[in-house]
Amino acid sequence: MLTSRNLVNADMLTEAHRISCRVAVGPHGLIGLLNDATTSLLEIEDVYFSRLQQPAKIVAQYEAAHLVKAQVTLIVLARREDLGPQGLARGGYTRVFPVPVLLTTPEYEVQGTVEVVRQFDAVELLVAGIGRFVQVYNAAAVPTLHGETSFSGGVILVNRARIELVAQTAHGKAA
Amino acid sequence: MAKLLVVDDDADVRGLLRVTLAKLGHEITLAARGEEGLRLAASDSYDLIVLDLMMPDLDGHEVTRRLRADSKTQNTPILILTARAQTADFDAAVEAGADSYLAKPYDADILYRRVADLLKQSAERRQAAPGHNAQANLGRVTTVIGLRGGTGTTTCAITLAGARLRAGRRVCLVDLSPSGGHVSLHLRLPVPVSWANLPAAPDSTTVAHHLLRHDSGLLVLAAPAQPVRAGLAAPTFRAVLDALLVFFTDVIVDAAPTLDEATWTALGASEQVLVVCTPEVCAVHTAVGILQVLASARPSGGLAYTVLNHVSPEHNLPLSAVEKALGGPPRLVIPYDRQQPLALTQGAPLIFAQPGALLPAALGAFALSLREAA
Repeated sequence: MLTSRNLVNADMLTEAHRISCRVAVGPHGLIGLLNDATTSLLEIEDVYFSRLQQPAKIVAQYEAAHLVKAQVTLIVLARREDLGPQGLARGGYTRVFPVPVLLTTPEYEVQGTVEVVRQFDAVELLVAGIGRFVQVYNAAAVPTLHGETSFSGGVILVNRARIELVAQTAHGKAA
Repeated sequence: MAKLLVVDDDADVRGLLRVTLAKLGHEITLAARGEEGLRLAASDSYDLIVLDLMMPDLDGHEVTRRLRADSKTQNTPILILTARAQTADFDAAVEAGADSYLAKPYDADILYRRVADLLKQSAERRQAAPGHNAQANLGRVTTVIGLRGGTGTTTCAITLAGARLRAGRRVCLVDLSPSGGHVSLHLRLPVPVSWANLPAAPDSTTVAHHLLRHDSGLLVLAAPAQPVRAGLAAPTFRAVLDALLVFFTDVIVDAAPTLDEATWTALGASEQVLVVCTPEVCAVHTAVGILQVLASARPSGGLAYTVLNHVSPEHNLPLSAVEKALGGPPRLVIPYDRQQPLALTQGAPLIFAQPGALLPAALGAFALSLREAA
């Protein structure tokens, strides 16, 4: 089987840090790595490390590092293509509808759209859905304690285990 | 065109930027680290610095701060090109002194426009600076004209452009002939695009995309290979000149063999006009006519020089007769160079193939003396 090594740029946001890095992804893309149940770690390269209170200031740089997946709250990607093969990223090729939402974690408020097959279903999104991270498209995230800062991207992945609230912010037709 | 310094620790990105920006004719210097970038910026002059933020030794913010603290680079435009593309990064880059910011992965067209805009703004700032000599930093136009065919006008224009290129100038040669361009023929350049493909109001990026590059490094805005019914319209050529003058120190115009709109615009914009004639009756008569027209109706002042070009070893008017017709000696007499017909046949202009030959030696030295005197 042919394998490829693509590098994806990402901003990993934890409780207190911003980690700008590159992730070497295989044919299943970044989403495949995140959902890989055989490892709880994520290998990252070209790591630039900042504190959330000064997110633009680089305080350290490392060639490589490991991140504990469970401790990553958000992953900000510039483009949704960086997620990986489209089918894997959204769980299939079914027609989907965008639903605007607000999600909160203890440290962040995230606004954007999630894609649903029929209608918005919080249980499906938070409990029954597969995958460690929820994909929020065209999203912006504000750290709760640093409201002057925001992170935005074509997609933000939100750690499902850290979500405390989800709300549909507009009631568009989704059926 | 412009001299650009690219500072990025990623070899793939450096390679890609070199290819992308060189397409616009820019001269690209690469640095892999912030320290190396600072060293290069201190040792040479650049028109624009493209800078990554995330680099191992010095990050882009710190490099920007140091560039701004140095009097040599404090006004050099800085474009940040980085994957770290949040609002906070943009704000920090601007605070450090960067002029613009572009997120990776970037769209090449957006990069072209951003670079062109920064170069243009930089040129305008230099012009507007107090006590600035408006012509000192912007490029200058020289038109070479000979309305009588066969006088070697194109040879002179190419030689002039080559001489200035060899002197380290950034040179663009423009062929205005609507009758099938000869510059590309002399240089053996295929003509996939020419001024005939330009829109009516081209911006600098569009003009850059229409330039051809000769192996010598000379950039050419070619005439269409086949004759066309009309030359460039005056407003279009004015826009072309405005765009070229941002990027080039010297714009040499090989004028059309007729006083069409574009040629007239070129004459009006020129600091120097070289009127080329051969020592034969019709050519001298035409040169006298051009000089009279320039003296009476040229839209703005600049100096006109007559160049007497011996394109044949025999049947020449005596110099005294030429001087009498012109009302004085020609500014330059180019002796017959038997190597020139061969150079034309081979597509290897003497200024590049044999710069010490009679023709390039005579015209080259003259061209540089004009440039320095101006």
